[in-house]
Formats: sequence, C-alpha cells, structure tokens
Amino acid sequence: MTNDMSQVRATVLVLALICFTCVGCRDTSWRAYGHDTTQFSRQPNESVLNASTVSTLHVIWDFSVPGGGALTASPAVYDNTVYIGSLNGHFYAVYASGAKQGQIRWQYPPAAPPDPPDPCGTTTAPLLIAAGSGNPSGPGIASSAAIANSVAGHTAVIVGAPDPNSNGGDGRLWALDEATGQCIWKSAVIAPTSGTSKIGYSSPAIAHGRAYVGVSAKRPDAPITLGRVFAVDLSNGALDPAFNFSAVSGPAPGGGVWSSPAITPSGNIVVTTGNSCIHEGGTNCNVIPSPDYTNSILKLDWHNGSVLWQVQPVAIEHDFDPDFAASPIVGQVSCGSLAISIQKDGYVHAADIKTGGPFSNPACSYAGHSLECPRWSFPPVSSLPFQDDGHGDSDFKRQGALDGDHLFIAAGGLDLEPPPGHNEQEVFNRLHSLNVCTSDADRIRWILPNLPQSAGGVSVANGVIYLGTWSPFDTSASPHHLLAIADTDVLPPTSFICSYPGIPSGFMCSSAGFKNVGVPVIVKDVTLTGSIQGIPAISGGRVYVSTGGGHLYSLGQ
Amino acid sequence: MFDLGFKPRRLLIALPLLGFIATYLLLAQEKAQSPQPKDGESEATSTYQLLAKGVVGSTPFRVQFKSAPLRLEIRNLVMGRGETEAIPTPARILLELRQGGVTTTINQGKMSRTQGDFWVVEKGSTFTIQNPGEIAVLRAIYIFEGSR
Repeated sequence: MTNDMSQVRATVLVLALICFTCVGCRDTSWRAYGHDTTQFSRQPNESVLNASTVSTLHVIWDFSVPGGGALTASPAVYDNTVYIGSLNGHFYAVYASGAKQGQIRWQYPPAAPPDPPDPCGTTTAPLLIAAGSGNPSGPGIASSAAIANSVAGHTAVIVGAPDPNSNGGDGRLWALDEATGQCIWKSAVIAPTSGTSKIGYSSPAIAHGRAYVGVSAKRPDAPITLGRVFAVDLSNGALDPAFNFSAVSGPAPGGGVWSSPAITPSGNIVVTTGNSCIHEGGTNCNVIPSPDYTNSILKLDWHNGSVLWQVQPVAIEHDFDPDFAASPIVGQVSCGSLAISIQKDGYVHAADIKTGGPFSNPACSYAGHSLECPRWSFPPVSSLPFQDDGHGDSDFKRQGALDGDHLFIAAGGLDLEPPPGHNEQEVFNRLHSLNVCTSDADRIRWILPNLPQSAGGVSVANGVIYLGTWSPFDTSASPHHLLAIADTDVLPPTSFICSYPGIPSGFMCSSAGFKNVGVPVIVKDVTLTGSIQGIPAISGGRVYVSTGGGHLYSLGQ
Repeated sequence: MFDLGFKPRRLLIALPLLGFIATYLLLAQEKAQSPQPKDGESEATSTYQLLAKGVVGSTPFRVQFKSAPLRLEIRNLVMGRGETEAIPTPARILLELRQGGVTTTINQGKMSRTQGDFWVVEKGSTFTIQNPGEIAVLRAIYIFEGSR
C-alpha cells in the first residue's frame, strides 16, 4: 500500500513537472508557408516578441546563399532549423540558434557526392530546370517547404523542385529527412519538362497523409498552362489516382495554381487559380472552357478533387489577367468559417466555407458558370461577377495574415479608382487591417499609408504585424524593409487617415461620407538586402526573413 | 450569350457628346492646363475639395481648346454612404459611374444608376446623389462652352 502511494505521488510529481516545463515548450515551429494549413500566417505561441519588446529587433545572423541565389520562397522553422530552397536549385537547412546559428546544417543536393548513393538518385547537381526555365519562379526552387511527420518513419521536409536527373527537370515533390537531409522519396512526376507547367510558388499543404500541391506556368503566361492540383501519398510519393482537379476542360489551357492550397476545418481543400488564355492569344483561346475554374477561389473535396463551390469575381470575357496569385486564408473566425483571398486587381473576397455542396447562387452566376457569391468583398461591390474590363494585373499578390477577426493585407482600398491623371501604382504602398466579421461600413480597422515600397508578405504574433516590402520579381540587392507594426489594439494610433485615403482626414472625410481611421505605429523598421517576397516566419523570439537578394535573416532582440 | 451590360439608352446620350468632344480634340490643339502628376507621387499631394456636403471632387484636369471656345474640366466625384446636398452645376456635366451604385435626382427626377452608366446634367440643374453603399466614384466631365 505504501509502495502504491509512493508510486502515485511520484507519478503526480512527474506529471506536474511535465505540465510546468511544457509552459515553456509550446510548439513555436513555423511548419509551412503560412505557418500551417490554414495559411493564417500567425504564430500563436510566440512568448518573446510583442509590442513592448520588438523595438529592439535587429539582425542576429545573415545567411548569404553560397554563390548567390535568390530566395523567393518563405522559410519554414522546425527543430532549431530554418528550411528554405533557392532559385539556384539548392535546398538549405540552417541552424536557427545556438553556437552554429546561421550555419548550414545540411543542404540538398549535398556539396559532396553522397556515400552511400542518394536513394533518390541525386548527386551534387542542383535541382534546376535545364532549359525553358520558370523565370521568374525558377529555374530552381520557389516552393516553400512544409514539415510533415510520419513520412515513412521520418519527420520530413516536403518541397516542390525540379529533378535534374529526369528529362532535364521534371517537377516533383521531394521528401527529405529534416535532421539529415537524406532523401526519403521523390514523388512521381507532377510537372513534366515536356509540358508547359511547373511547381512554381505553390507549397504543399499536408493533410490526410497526403501533400496537396498545384502547378502553374513555367514562364508566366508564356504560354498559359493548365492549372492542376495533385495529391501525393506521404508514405511513398505516389500520386493519388482518385484525386483529380483540372482548372479547365477543353482545348485551351488556363487556371494555373500559383498559390498554396489551404485546408478547411473539415479537411477539404481550398485553392485559388490564375487566368485563362482568352485575351492572351493562342490556339483555341477564343473558346470559353467548360467547366471554367479560372480566376477563382474553389473549395475541393479532399477525397477526389471535385468542386464544391466556386467564386469567380471577374467574368471570363473580361479576364485581363486578374489572377488569384495569393493563397487563400481559410478557417474559423467569430462569424463562421471563411476562405479569404485577394485578386491581382486589388479586390479582397471572403467566401463562406460551408459544409457539403456543391453550392451555387444565381445572383453571382452567368452563362455556363454556376458560381457562389462571396460573403463580402473589399472594396465593396454592388454585384459580381464584374462585367467590365477594368480588372487586370495590378500586382496585388500577397495574401496577408489573419489574427482572430483581424486581417492584415496589402489591398487596393476604397480608392482603387484613381482620379484623372493619377497612377494606380499609388495604392500599393499601404497596408490595410480589415475586420472580417463586420458590415461593409465597419470593414476598415486601420490603414498604414505611405510605406517606402510596396507592401509584401505579412505575418502576425501578439498584436505585432511583420511586413516585408517588396518589388515583384526583383532579385537584386536593392534595400527593402522589414517593418514591425503595432496593431491599434495594443498601441494607440499615431494619427488618423480617411478611409478613402486620398481625401484629407477630419471634417472633409466625414463630410464626404467616409470614416477617419487610425494609422498604426511602426515600432521598428529594419533595412535588409533584397526584396521580401515571402512571409516573415515567427518562431521562438526570432523573425526569419528571406530576400530576393539571396539572404536569409534571423532577427531578434 | 454573355451579358455585356449593353444599354442602348446610355449610348444615345453618351455617343453624341463623346463624338462632339472627340471632334474638337481632333480639330483643336488642346492644352492640358493641370500639370500631370508624376508616377508614384504621394497621396498627400492629391487634393480633393468639398463640392457639397456629402461629396468631394478631385483636382480638375483642365483641357483648354485653342481653336474653339471650349474648356473641359475632368474630375472624379467621390462619396461614401449617404446623400449629398445640391452639387453645383456651373456647366453641362457628362457623368459616368465608375464604382458603386447610386440614385441621382436631377431637377426632382430620380434615376438609379449602375456601374458603367453615362448621363448628362445640364448647367444650372439641381443635382443630388444618394449612395446606399460604402463607396461611389463618378467621372465628371464639365463642359464649359464659350470659354477660353
């Protein structure tokens, strides 16, 4: 009896100790492009960086890609290691902290020929497309990595990259052991070199023992390719033959998947797609495809890829390249489950995820297209789909971040229609915070205007928004900025701006029927080398930022 | 097969006026009197003025015709939710609704307008706009005839 009691006491003590220590060991990893499969780009377990401490943010280490090589992917962080691929065809695992911080833990392909031989047949040749490369998303690795457990007994890094030993660069997913970099498998071919597609910026979403990934054009719109999503079995890299999604059906291509799929709370897939070829020219491009899933947010059944609903804000006849380049943000907010994304024309659309389907709504449908209506759009629109030609590539390509009901995004804003003589370029250099669960009248929470460059990738933790500035496709060493911005819930605004930003704040703004909204505080502005295309990854008191100039930075206190 | 938003009524109004303007643009050596803003010019330099309670107008882009007594002033009228007081009509105004959906009242005549609609307001008319949405943007071309 005494022994039993001692054992019980010991067990309770051990459990208490585990609970106590686990307060300090919450999972602070950043496992995928937008942190996880919701693509919220939010770190829920950050315990160091907040509005008070972030003012001392500075560069802790700077990993410069050996021999040069742009980083357009975003970093993933796991097991004290930062994982990222480069357009130079190498994938790097870099120590995040400790004595070896900023040094290469492993790289793939390895610097020296592997002994024993690599199970995937790789030697030291970089993962590049040999010819007809995917400029500007290539010729190497633009796909951000995802960390997956239980991959043939390993914890693995899953990333899309060309295979130099397969027809000069067939696109595959690769599973690499996170600790050693040894190849576990390479998938069946997803984007054959002989075709027009590649795994570009799309990063795998891990769910149901599969990795879901999309393909887009090798070279943007030259030519347009058929957008597809593939499901890869994580146990062996085989393609799931039961899963089949193609963005168009018919003789002409279209609907490239430039973005990363997201997973709904019930496990289905949400993807966004790019443009058709109707105004790009090419064989059969005058034929309206049927079905036509181009320029859309789509919910797909995770089992087989069938479409459960489609939001297509711009009717295909008016498709002047307003792709959804941004990934969807998908998940639970206080008013239900939403899928949110921004089109290149600067309009944000939020759709109800819903259960079941397929769904459509006659109010947003048109000939040959059974479409759903979004719950809301920003700026607000009177009806969809747009039936005018004013929607094209205005470079709104970054997805934003979501914290609770608060979205932080580089969106077009109310003044998307510029006054006579003005350039629409003027609206790129600002960040909006939107409330995703209010009426249109209260949608705008705050606006940060007049950024030094265009607003790029965004992430958030503890009410601090990390925003990289970017110049699309810029792989030079030109200076750009990482900004740490305090949400107005944690620090009061510095000033006010009209919700229609061209109008002076104050009386004139309110007299014109608009609202004066806050301008948040920029707590810290750090200048870095190169355009910040990816999402700043927040992990364990550090912010990891990749640049087109070939630098991977760790910033901390 | 597709609804292209074709409205013959709009064209009946807009085409003669646009043709009139285009003819003058071809015949006359027009001169833009407002300096073109430079690319990337900051928003702070983009000035609006309150035209009437409920609506602001952007700085006019002026075109003075040399060979004809005609001046055009092109500006955006911008309003949020609500109804304007009477908007001054110092000249004939050709309007296009670029964003949103509004109801106009011209000399007590109400008309719903949707995006892409064109209409004309004559000089001296009583003109108000009601916007049930969050944003409405109208492109207004003020036509000052007999003006040099």
